[in-house]
Amino acid sequence: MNAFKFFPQIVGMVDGMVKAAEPELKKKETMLDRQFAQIVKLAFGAPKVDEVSLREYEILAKKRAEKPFTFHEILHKILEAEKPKGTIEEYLMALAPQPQKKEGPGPKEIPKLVERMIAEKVMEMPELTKSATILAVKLAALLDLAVKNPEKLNFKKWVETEAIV
Amino acid sequence: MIEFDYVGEEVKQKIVNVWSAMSESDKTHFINQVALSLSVWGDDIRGKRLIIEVLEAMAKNSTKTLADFGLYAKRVENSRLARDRLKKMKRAFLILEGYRIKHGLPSIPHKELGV
Repeated sequence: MNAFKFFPQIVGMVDGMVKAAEPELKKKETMLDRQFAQIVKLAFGAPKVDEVSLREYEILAKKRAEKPFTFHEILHKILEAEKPKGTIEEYLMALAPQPQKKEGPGPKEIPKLVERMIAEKVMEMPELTKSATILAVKLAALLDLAVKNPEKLNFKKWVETEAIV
Repeated sequence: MIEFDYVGEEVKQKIVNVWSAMSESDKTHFINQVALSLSVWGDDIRGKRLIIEVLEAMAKNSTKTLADFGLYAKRVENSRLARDRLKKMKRAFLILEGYRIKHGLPSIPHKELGV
């Protein structure tokens, strides 16, 4: 018997089952959203949690982590931690994987760090523009590199070409 | 071959020395203030040159931390590079002042004491 002959029917059946379960799944998801809000509230004592969409937390977590977290994953992390310390933002920051510590970032690692710092800063200060923040972080990277290689410090390059080395 | 730069070697060395001794939080305050300045007064070549002028002023005044950036920014108000953006410069100074107040940064520059 050729099992592949029945494959379209099986797919159709599964598809039908998934469709039938969709409203139930949605209900469960909403319930989880509420639970998440309550847990966040309890864990951090954050009265503002209702004012901020949970999806925003998800976006925030994704922006701050190299590996994105869904809010359900965050929920599990919160459940795992007995008493999360600090603010929700600090907690999410702590969840984000940290870059491996070496002797300062190498030139190839700088873009990743820059990207992460930009996302954080632009969220913190609404006046900031992305391009200005990138330039400020690059200037700091230039100074960091100059600590080890003073001969490479050239502000003219930063001003005119935006190169950091 | 030494490539031409806007500031002299001595000033650069001072800036690097100060930077290397700064705490991580001071470095963050420096980055934030530079980013705010560039966002408000413009991040074109002139805007960036103004940042370098502020750094130069800080080094010449023997600053102990580049986190004092906001306190020195006003010094470039009369720079010829700022002529076309005085309104933006004034707004930037106000925002920098607000940033410093918000983060409890001092209103007097940290300076090396002369002997």
